[in-house]
Amino acid sequence: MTNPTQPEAGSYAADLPLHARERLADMRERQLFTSDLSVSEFLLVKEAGFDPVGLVMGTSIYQIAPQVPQLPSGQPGCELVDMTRALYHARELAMTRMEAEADALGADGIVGVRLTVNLSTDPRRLEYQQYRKWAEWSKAKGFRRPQSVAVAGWFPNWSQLAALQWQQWGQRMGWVQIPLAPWAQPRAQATFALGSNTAEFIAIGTAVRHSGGQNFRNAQGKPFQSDLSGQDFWMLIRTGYRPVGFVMGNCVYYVPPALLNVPPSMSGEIPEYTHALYDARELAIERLQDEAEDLGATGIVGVTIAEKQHSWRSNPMNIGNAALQSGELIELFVIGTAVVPMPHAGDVGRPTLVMTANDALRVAKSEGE
Amino acid sequence: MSTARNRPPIDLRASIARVARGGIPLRAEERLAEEAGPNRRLFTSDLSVSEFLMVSDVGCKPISQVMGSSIYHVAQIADYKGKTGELTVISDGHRESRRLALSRLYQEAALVGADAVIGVRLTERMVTMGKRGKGGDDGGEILEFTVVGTAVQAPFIRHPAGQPVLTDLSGQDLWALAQDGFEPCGFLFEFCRYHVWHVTKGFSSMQGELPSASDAVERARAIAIGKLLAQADACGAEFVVGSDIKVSLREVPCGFGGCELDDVDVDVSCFGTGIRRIPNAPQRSVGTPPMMLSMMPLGRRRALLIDAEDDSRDVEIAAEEAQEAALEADEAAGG
Repeated sequence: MTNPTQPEAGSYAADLPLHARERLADMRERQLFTSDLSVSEFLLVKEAGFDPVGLVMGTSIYQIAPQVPQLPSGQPGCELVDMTRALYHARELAMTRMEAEADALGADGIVGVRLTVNLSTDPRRLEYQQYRKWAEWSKAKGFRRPQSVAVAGWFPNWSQLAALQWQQWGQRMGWVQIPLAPWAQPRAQATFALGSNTAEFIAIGTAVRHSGGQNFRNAQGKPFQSDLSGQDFWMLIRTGYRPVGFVMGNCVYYVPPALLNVPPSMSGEIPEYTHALYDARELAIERLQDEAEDLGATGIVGVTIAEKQHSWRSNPMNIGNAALQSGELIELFVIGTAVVPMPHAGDVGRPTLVMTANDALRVAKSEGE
Repeated sequence: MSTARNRPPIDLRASIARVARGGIPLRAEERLAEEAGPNRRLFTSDLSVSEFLMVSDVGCKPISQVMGSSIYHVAQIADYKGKTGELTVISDGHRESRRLALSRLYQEAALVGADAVIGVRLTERMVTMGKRGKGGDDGGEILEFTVVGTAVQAPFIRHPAGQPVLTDLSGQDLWALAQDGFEPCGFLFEFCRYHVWHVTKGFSSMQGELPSASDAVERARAIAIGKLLAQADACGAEFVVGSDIKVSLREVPCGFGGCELDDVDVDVSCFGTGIRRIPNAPQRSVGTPPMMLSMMPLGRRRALLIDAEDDSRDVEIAAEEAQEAALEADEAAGG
C-alpha cells in the first residue's frame, strides 16, 4: 500500500502517514510510552523481561460489495471467494499498519492485540438503530405508538411507521411546527460519505521490547503479534514458549434461500446448511494452520472461532426472515497466537489450590469480562 | 490470503449424506484424522495459556479444537390455543438439535483419539424467525446450535477406549476437581417449552400473583430437571456441576377472536457436567486452602478479543419487535 498523497517514504514505515511517523519518532526520542495495558498486565510484561514502548494501531476502511452468486440448482451453497479475500485483506491492512508502527518504535513484538470491526458507517444501519432508540424512548414515556401499521409483517414499513408515530407525538406535544424526526436528521458529512457496505477495521495493541536486548522478532524479521493479555504473555514466556505471530483464517459462505424454505410441518435438521457451516470452518482452519506453518510455529494457542453475520444481507427489509428471500451470508473467522518453544524451558511452579478473598465481581470487571 | 493447501475434491453428495445421518462431513474427518496421526502439523487449542498450564499439570495434553453444529428447522405447530402443557414438538426440536451438535462434537473428539473435550462452549442463534413473524412462539423458526471445545488427552479419566467425555468445565475447574478426586463423566442438557393458556383470566382488575404462571415455571423446571437427572443417572454421575439453568418467560397474546387475555410461554434450558469420584484416588489431606487476596488475577481478556459488531442478533431483535407489535396490536383490539 502506498499513499499517493504522501511525499517520498522514509527508511521505515513506508505505509504510515506523515504525522504518525512524526509522533513515533518523537516517542522514540523521549522514551515516553503509552499503553493500554492494565496495571497488573504492565507489571507482568515487565516481569517477563519486556518493556512496553507504545500503543500501536492500524486501521483500514473498506468497502465490500456483496454479490449474490447464481448457483446451479441443487448446489448447496458455495464460498464467496471475493468476499473472503476482501474481509481478510481489510484486517490484514489494519494489522500491517499496526506492525509498521511497532517496527518504527523498534519493538520486538505487540501484545494484547485486539481486532475490532465498526459497522456504524452504514447509514441504513444507523437509521434503524436510531429508530430502535425512539421505540424504546416512546415506550418509556408511555406513548402508545399508533397501531394501524403495527401488525405482523410490518417490518418493510418501519420507516413510514416511525414517521407517522413522530407526527402523532408532535401533535400530542402541541408543537406548531413538527421538526424532522431525530433519526431522519441529516448527519455529519463524514458519516454519510462512506456509504453502505463499508466497515472500519481497527487493530490495536501495545508494542514491547525485550529489556535484555534479545531478539524476539519472528522469522520474517518483523515484530511478533499476539492477542494474549499481559498475564498470558508472562505465563507463556515462563513456560518456555514464545509467540511468533497472530494468525487468522476466514471463509465467507453463501447459503441459497432454497435450502431454508423447508415445509413448515417438518421438524428436523437441514443437513446441507450444517454441511456448509462445516465446510466454511474447514477452509478457515486450514488457512489458519497454513499461516502458522509459514511462521514456523509448532502450535496455536487461544484459538477462537467466531461465526459472523455481516450487514450485507442483500435484503434490508423484513430482517427477521430476510434469509428466506436472499439466503444467508456467514463468515467463519478463526484467530489464535502461533507459538514456538524456546531452548530454555522455564517453570512456573506447581499451581496450588487457594481460596480467593477477592470480590469475584470486581475481579471480573477489572479483567474486562 | 494464504490459499489452502490443495486437496483433492471430496464427494459432496456423500459428504452431505453423512451429515444427514448425523455424522460429520468428509473434509472435517480427513483433517482431524491427520491431526491425530503421526504427520500432525500443529496443535490447536482454544484454551487460554493459564488453562493450558493447569491441564498440563494433571497430565492433559491439548490435541485439537473440535466443533459440533446443527442447523435445525422446528416445525410450525398447527394450533395450541386453549391448551396448557409442554409443547413437545418445540421442546423436542430444541433437544434434538442440541443432541445432534453434541454428537458431532463427540464424533470429532473420538476421531482425534481424545479422552475428553473440555471447555465446551455453546452458542445458539436464530437464523429465521418463522413465517408468522411472531418470534417462534409457535415454531417455524430455523435455529443454529453450535458447540466448540478442546479435545485433550487426559489419562486420569477412566472411560472405555474411544468414548471421550464432554464437559463445559474449564481447564482450571477440571484441575481443581482432580485435586479432590473427581472426574467428569458426561455432559447433560435439557430443554422444555411450556405453554399456559389464558394466564390473566379473572385478573383484569385485581393485583396478586398469577398462580397458573408461577405454576407453569415450576412444572417446566420439574420436567427439564427431571430429565437432566435421568441423564445423570444413565452416565453414572454422582453430582452435576457447572449447571447453567436459564428460565425465560414471555407473554404471548391469545389473539383468538379478539381475545384480550394473555398466554405465557416458559422456556427452561439447562446444561451441566456430571461428575463422579475417581476410584482409588490418592487421599489428599483435606484442609482449608490458604486464603489469598489476588492482586494480579491471571485471566484473559476474552471479551475484548474480537470485539466486533455483526448482525447475529438482528433476527432475535426483529423477533422480539414482532412479538411486541403483536402484543400492542392485540391490546389495541382488546381495549
